Amino acid sequence: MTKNGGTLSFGSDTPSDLTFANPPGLNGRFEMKRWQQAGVTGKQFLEAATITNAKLFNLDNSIGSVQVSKRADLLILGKNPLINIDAFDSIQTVISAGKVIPRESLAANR
Amino acid sequence: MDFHTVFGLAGFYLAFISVGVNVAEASQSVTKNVEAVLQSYHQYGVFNGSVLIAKDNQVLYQNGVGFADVNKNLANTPNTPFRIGSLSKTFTALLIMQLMEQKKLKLSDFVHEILPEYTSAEGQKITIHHLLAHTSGLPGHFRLPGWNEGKYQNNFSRAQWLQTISELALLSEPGEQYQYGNLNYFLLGCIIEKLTGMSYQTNLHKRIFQPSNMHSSGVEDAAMDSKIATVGYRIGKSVGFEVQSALNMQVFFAGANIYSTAVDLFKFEQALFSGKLLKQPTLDFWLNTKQSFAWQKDQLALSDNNSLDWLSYNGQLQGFSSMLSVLGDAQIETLNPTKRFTIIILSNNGINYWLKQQLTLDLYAVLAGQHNNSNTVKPPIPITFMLTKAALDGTLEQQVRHLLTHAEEFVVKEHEIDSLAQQLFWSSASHKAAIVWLLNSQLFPNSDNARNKLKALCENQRLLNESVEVCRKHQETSSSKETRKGTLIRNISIVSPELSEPFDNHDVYIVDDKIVSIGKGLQVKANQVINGTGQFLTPGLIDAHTHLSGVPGMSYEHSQAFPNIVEEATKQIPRSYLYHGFTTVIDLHSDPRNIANWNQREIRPQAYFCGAAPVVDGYPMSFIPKPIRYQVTPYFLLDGEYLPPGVDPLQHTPEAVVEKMRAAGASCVKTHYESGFGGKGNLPTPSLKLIRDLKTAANAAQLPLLLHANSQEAQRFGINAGVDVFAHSMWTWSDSTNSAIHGDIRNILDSAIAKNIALQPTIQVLYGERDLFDPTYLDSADLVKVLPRSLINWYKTPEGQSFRNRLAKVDYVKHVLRSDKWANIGKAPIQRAMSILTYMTKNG
Repeated sequence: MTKNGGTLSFGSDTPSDLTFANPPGLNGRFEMKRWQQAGVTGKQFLEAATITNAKLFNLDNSIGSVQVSKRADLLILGKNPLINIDAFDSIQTVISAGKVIPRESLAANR
Repeated sequence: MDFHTVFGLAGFYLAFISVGVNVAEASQSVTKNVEAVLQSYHQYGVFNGSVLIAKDNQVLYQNGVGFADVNKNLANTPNTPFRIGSLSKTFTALLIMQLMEQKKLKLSDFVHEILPEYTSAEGQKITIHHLLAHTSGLPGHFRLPGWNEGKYQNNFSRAQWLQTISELALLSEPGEQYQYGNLNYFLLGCIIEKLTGMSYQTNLHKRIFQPSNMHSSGVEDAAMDSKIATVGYRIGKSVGFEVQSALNMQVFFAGANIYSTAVDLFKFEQALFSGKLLKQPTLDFWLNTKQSFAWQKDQLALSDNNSLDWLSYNGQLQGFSSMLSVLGDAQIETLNPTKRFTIIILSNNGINYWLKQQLTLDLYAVLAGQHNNSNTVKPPIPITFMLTKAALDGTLEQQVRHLLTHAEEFVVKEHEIDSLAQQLFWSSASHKAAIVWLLNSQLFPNSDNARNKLKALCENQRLLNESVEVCRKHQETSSSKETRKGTLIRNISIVSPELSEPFDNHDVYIVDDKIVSIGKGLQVKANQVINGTGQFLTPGLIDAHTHLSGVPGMSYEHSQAFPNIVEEATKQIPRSYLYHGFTTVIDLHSDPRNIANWNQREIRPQAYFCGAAPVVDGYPMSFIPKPIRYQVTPYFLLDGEYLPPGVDPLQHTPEAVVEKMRAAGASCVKTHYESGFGGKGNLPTPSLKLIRDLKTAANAAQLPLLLHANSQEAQRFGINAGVDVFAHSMWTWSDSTNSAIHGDIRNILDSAIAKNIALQPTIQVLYGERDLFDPTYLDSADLVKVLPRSLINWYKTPEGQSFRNRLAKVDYVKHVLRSDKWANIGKAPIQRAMSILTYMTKNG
C-alpha cells in the first residue's frame, strides 16, 4: 500500500512484442530500478512484488511471505532490501520450492 | 486374449547353428571372437536373434543365435524375419524424402492441407517437418482414449483412426517441443498413401524393397495373425521367457509395422548408400538434418583419441528388438566405402536399448582388433547380465541383495540398470521392474529417476497389487529420505512484508518444498545447514506480468529456422528469472499446456497463467489472420451482433469464457482496451456492459480481472467497468504536449486509487523499444548473465535485428532518430509513467 492508498502490483511485461531489449529476469531487475528512481521505497517494492501479488492472484496461501506452511520460495541477500532496492544485486542463494541453488550457478555462460 | 506359454530358460539355449551361407572371407579369428561375444550375451539370456556384420560392403559374419520358435524347433538364421518396430520409421521417412525429391510435397506443407481428414483445430499448424521430427505436439499412442482398456485390439478403419487422432489434444504447440510418438509416423503413412494413391505397403515394395532386392520384407497389418513364423519372447512373470501376446499392428501402421531380415536390411543399407533410393543431395540432407528424421547420429570415441561417426536407428516392439548401425571414420555423407562398417542386430527376446548399443560396440571392438579370443564377456561381468539371468531364473531378489551388499565389486551405471527395468516393465513383469527400480533408487539415492518411475508404478492399483512389498519399501525409503532432506537456515534476519521490523537471528527450517518452522535456536535434524549470519531472508519475488512462450525477439519462423539457439535459450530462460530473484511468474496470456511444460522443468520459477479474453477481432487477436484467429483464441468474447462464421456464440459469452478458464486452471482473466498503436489504429474495443459482465463472472469464479489499458481513454473505461488491475501505466495522454500530472489525469488516478484498482506500471516496456537503438546494448555485461551467447550473437544478425529495423521505419521513431538521439525515443511516455508512479507513491 502506498502512502496515498494506491495499490502497486509488480510486473515487468517480459518481453513486450518482439523486442530483444526485455531480457528474462534482467528486465524485472531493470523495472525495479525504475521504481527506485520514481521514489518507491524498499518496503513498498517488497510488498508489491510479494504479498500484494500473492493476494491479487489468490496465491497467498502458498507464497508471498516468510511464514510456516508456505512454499519455501526464498532469497538470501547480503544486504538489507528495506534500505535499498539495489540489495537485490546481492542475492547469494535462491531457494525455489525448497531447492537450494547458489545464485551464480543459475547464470548463463558460467 | 493371453496366449502366454511358459518354458524354462534351459530350453531356450541352443548352440550356434552354422547355416553355411556366405560367411565370406571373414578370418577364422574374427568369426571365433564374434561368436564368443554373442555366446556370452546369449548365455545370460540377454540376446537371441540374428546378427550381420559387414566391412567395405563385404559380409564378414552373419548368423542366427537361439530359436525363432522354441516349440517348433525353428532356429534363427540370417534370413529369419523379425518385426523391426520403430526402425520402420526410417523407411517411412525415406518414402517422404523420395516424395520430396519428386516435388510431390514440401516439408513445410501443412498436414491438414494434404489430409483434410485430420480436422484438429489446434493441429492446423502441424507440418510434415513436425511429424518427421516428432515436434507436432501429438501425444504417444498410449494416450489414446480407451488404450488401457484394449479398445484398439479390434479392427479400426483408417477413417476411424484419423477421427480419433483429430480429437486428441496436443501436448505442446507444433514446433515447440520434442515428444516422441508413433502417431506422427502414422500420419506420415496416411500422407504417403494420399499423395501416391497406393497403399503404404505397395509404396514400400515398389520404392524400397524391389529396388533394393529385399525379398523377405513386408508389413504386418491385420489384428492377431502374424505373417511371420518368428515368435517374440519376453522375460516372464515367473521363470523363463513367455510368448508375447498378439497385438493389432494397425495401431502402429507406418510407425512400426515392418518385418525384415538381417540379410534384407543389409541390402537396404547398400542400396541407400549407393544412391539407388535417393539422390546424393537428398541423402545428405536427410542424414544431416538438425532434428533427425528417424536416424540417430552419435560419435563413438575410440581409444586412440580418434572418433567414428555412428549412424543408427532402432526399434523395440512386443518381444522384438532391432538396431541398424553404420560406422564410418569420416562424415557419414561422404563415407568412404572402403572404411565403413555395418552392424545389424535383430532380436526376438526384447534386448533393451542400452544392451543393443553395448552389443554393437562389442562387435565393433572385435572388428577393430580390440577384442581378442576370449570365451566370455570381458570381466567384470556387467551387472545387467547378472540381473537379466536372475530375472529369468526367478532369483532376482537374491541377486539384488547380493549386489547391495557387494556393490563395491561391481561397476554400476544408473542408465544401464534403468534400461533393464524398462525392458522388464514392457515385458509385463512389472513386479520384476519394481525390484530393479528399487535397486536403482538404493544405489543412486540422489537421483529422482528411479524413485519417480517406482512412484508412478505404485500409484497404479493393478501394478501395486503385484508389487505390494516393493512399494512398501519404496514408501519407507522415500519417507526416511524426507527427514534427511531438511534444510536449516541459521541466524538470519527475516525481511517479510507483514513484519514491521526484521526478525533478527532467526532460524528457518525447510522440509521438501515447505517452510516447516521458524524460531530462535531450533532443534531439528537437517542434512544441510546454511549460516545466515549478517544476511537477509526475503520471500522470493513474484513477477505478475510475463509472457513465457517462445524466445524473446524470435518470431515463429525464426524459432523454426534456429532450433539450436532456441534449445539453449529455452534451457536458460527459467534460470534467468531465478537469477534475479523471481521464484514465481505469472503469464498473462497463456494456456494450461504451455504452463505445464514450463513447470515440468526441475529448476524454474513456478508459473501461473491468465486466460486472455479479447473482444472479437480486437487487440491482440487482430494480429492473427482470419479465420484461424477464431480457432487459436479460445477465450475471445463476442460483443453485440457480429458473429464470425463457424463460431458457436454460446462459447463466447463472459460466463462461458470464464468457466473454460477456471476449468483449465487459470489464476486470472485478462482483457484488453486498445484502440491501436504503431500505425495500427481503429481496432474494436469492448462495450462497458461486456466488461462489467466479465468482471462479475471472473470475481464469481474468484479470479481477478486485469485490463490492458495504457491510455487515458482506456483507464477511464476500466474505472467505469470496475476491473481489478491495470496491466500497464497510463502513458498515452490526449494532451500529447504534457507530462506532468494534471486535471483529468489526476482525476483518473484518484478514482483508480479510490476504487482500489492495482497498478502495474511496466515502465521497462517503454525502454524495450528505446534500448533497441542503443548501439552498446547487446554488449552489456548484465546480458551475458541471463542469455546464452548464441542468442546474443543472433540478435546482432540481420534476422535478429528485424524487429528493430521494422520499428525504425515507424514515422515517430524516424523523426526522433533524424533530429535527436536514440535515447529520446519514448521520452514523453516514460516521463508520464514515472510521474504516475511517483504520484502513487508519495501522494503527488
